[in-house]
Amino acid sequence: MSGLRSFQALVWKDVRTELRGGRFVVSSLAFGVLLILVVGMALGGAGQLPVDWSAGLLWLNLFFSSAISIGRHDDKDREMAGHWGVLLAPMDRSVIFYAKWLTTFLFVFVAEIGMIGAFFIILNQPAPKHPLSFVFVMLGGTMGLTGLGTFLATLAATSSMRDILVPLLLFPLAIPMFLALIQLTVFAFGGISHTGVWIQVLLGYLTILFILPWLLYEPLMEV
Amino acid sequence: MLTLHSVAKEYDLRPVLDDVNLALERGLRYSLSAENGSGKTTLLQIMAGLSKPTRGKVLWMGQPMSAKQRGLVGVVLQSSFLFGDLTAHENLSLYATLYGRPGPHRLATEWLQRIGLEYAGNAFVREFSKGMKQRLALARAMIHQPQVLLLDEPFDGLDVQSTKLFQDLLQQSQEAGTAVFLVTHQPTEASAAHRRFTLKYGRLVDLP
Amino acid sequence: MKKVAYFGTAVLGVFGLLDIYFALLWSPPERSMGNLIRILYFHVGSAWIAFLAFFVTFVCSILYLLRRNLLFDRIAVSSTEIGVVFTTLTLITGSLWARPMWNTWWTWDPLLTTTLILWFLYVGYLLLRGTMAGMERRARISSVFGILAFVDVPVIHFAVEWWRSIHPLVIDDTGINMPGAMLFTLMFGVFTFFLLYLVLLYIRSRQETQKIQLYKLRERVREIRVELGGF
Repeated sequence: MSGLRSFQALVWKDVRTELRGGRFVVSSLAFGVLLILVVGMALGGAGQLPVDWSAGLLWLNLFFSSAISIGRHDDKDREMAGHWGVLLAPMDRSVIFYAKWLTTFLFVFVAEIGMIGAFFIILNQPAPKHPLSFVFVMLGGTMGLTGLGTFLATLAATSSMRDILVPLLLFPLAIPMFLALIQLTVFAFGGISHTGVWIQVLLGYLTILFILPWLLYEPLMEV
Repeated sequence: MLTLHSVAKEYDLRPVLDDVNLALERGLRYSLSAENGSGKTTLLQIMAGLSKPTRGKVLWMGQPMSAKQRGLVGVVLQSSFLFGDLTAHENLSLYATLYGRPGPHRLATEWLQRIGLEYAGNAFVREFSKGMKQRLALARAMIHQPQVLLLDEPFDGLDVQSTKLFQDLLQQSQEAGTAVFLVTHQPTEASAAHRRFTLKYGRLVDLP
Repeated sequence: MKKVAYFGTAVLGVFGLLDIYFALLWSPPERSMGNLIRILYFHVGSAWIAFLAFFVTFVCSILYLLRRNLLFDRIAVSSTEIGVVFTTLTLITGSLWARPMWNTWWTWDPLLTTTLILWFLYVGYLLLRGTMAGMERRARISSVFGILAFVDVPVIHFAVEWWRSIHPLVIDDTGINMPGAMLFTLMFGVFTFFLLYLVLLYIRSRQETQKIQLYKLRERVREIRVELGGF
């Protein structure tokens, strides 16, 4: 199926470019760890934070640093209008979005691992009580965050205020997911005993993010 | 093959193209001589499937252009549509894959030879000179054997050798049945065309 | 202004005066909060209209993408602007009401929180528009965002409600006892605000259309100048 092969080719292109010194991962990681450090200082070097707060701070940092880096995710493509060349190809254009989502997810996730390490170390947090759940929440949350971020970065691509617009539009739209991720992280840390409705919220978000671009991508991609 | 029916395009409610009718036929060469800002780029973008017209239709064999039919069109515009952090070979095999051609790597190597860049196959495109990028862009546009070729001033700034190469390649594809639509300022190129146009107030006008 | 607008404004004026009378003078003070209830009449009216305005934006966004008629885009942006104004009013009146009631300027009441998020979404819409070139592209991109934002609003509201149920504050949104006269005043207020919305939407959309007409006239003058030999 040509769509699948095109998808693979586009993913490979992004991964290749990043491995050749794209510096997306490195800069996102650096900024993310820096934020954790600054938060730690802002809290006066506090150690044992209540689990509600630490979960909230973790996601605040992840959202913020991602929102800033995702805006740049296709800068390289635009240098010689490569992104237009891809639009010429005979495939469903939403494939372009899904490929971008996957690669952005991979890069942000790698950067996140470093950030999470910094979070546990610098803010002196105890290990999560349900580590498997914690991993799932991280994966799901990053998927949702990068999906929405990628979509908005494309939306705001032709705006002169693109770099501030992506975080400005991302946060309000992502509030339900943000709240869900915090609650699920609190659960993973052992702060509450059940996840309640929040898994459905997260899954609902991911479902919408899978479907909506497929519907809205064509008008978005016209030149 | 590719036909435009009463195509109009507005930008900021200003008509850039107005009632454009055009029918491209196999193996013929068409030239468009027009000033910057006359709408020539917009016209090419619409023909390539990048833009949608405000009014009118773009048809392929009488049917509205679908995604699949985009694959029958090859386009060279002012930007090269290449990826600077990939090698020349990788760029070509990427596009060959995107267009669903079998054996993309082999095709990429073939085409690098045809445009005389086989020595630079493993060099990054961001290090290429303008002429090299343009040659690579032409290969990119032709690698999927399009039935229509759209080119926006492809001979601009090319040296003599590259110009000859381009002319040869265009001639070969024309003989193979491709319709070639060329936007050019150069009178020599324009005179070689079967039909010549210009754009006046957004309308396509035949030149004698 | 067209006759419709004159008539509409006159009707609005009558209703407005009546509403002020009902809200500020005629309706009785509430049992527990006394005259503070009166802010609520304007607060609720603003809130409903804010949501209505964004619904209209949503519908016009869909219509634009389907029809590509810029009239829908003009109505969408007018409605959003008015919506932002009413959302701001909702937030301010909500805050003014909360302060004497619970000695705090901000309560994490789910509706109020959702309204604030809504404010950010639609200010974002206007910022997005304001930084884009090309009417057609601007309309297209805004429509996509308008659809996305509106679809998200109910999700945001439910999420905030559930979140609040986990973090109950001392402040609780107890049902207000509404005898007939107060309910009437409330509904009358909502209706008056609805008329206000319609009049504003009409005038603002007309203004956008007139902007386009002026722009086209200017372009025509420019073309004529060029034809006559460029002066």
